[in-house]
Amino acid sequence: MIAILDCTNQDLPLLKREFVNPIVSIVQRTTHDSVVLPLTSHKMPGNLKGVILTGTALMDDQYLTTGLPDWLPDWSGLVLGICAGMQLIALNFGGRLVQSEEIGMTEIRCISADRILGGKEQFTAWELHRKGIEITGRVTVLARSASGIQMIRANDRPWYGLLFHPEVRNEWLITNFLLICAGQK
Amino acid sequence: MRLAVLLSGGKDSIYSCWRAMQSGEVVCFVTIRSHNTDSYMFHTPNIDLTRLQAEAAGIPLIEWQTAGEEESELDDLRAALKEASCRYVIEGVVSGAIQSVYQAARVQRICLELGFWSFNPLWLCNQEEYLNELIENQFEIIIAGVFSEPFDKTWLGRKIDHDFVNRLRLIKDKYRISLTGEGGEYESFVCDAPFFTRRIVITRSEKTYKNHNGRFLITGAELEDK
Repeated sequence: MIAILDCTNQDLPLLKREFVNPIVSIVQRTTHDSVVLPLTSHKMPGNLKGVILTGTALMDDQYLTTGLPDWLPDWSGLVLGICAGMQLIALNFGGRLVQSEEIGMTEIRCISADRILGGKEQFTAWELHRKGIEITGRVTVLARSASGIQMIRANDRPWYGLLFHPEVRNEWLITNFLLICAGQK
Repeated sequence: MRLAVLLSGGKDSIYSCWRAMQSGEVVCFVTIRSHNTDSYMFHTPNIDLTRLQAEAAGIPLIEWQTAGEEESELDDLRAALKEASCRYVIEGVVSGAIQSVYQAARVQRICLELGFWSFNPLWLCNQEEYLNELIENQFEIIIAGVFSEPFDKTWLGRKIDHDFVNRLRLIKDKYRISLTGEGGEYESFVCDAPFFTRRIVITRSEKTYKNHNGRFLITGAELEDK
């Protein structure tokens, strides 16, 4: 079971079509069972193989008030945080958010090898955020752009964070994550 | 939330409006009329007829002219949205982008600058499912322009129906065209939608066509009760 945690403001259902449904489609194409839950979900789903935290709209800050669900910080399984989701992961590992407005396609340069990257050294990605992250110590930076950190992995567990949106032109990153969840990579 | 919908007259903006109406309040349409036929952002055939669509939907329309030069047309979009905000107190803007990062980035930047939410209900949608959804929900849509191989004159003015989707599905890989025409392969015009209180009836039209480049120009149209 893959849990897709919806980081969008629940009062604005139109955002789901833009930030949640594309992730659901990719997960369903890989034949994983999946469930979409709001960030406020208190109950950890059973038989969990991985968690994906979605992104949300530029104007949406609700996820910062809500924070990660209580059950997630203690979980040592696989997590992929996208944009807003990555920011929550960074905060969980002692990082901080900084003003960083990026909208559009950006060059990403991989600086540490990891199975999720599948040997990729650089690529272009869709960015849509007003905040970046600064973090040291408990994570490894996997990729950067000219504006800062773009990908991280926690050092003590398989939690990944992507500041850009892989569902746009980089589905392979989500697919690689799902293959890791399935024990196939 | 009070929303403005960027209206081109084509299926993507009208569908996005329909979706937006299901959870928000669409208070106006905004149409940018470009004088540049090569504009990546705004040009569509029959753009003048968005007036009739607005009337059919009972939603006020803000029309704005642009010379259509690459970046200055964004100043015109910004001005039009400011006008929408002054007249209708909007909080968000809805557009029909599906995969175009070019369009999406520009609209997102302007919305952020003006303090508006930006919504793209069709973003990364399954294109075949989307076309079928249009048909099943009785959207009445015609092909208003073709701009790539293998489209010939016979496609101009034809309706988007299941036969259209099947034909497109068969040729899309060979000719590298998107099912929805977002790459500029074809343009559409919506005559009826579920939220229209009246439908548009075309009374006169002209076709122009040369080398896979054609337009179905509506020269006469009127509203009819549904």
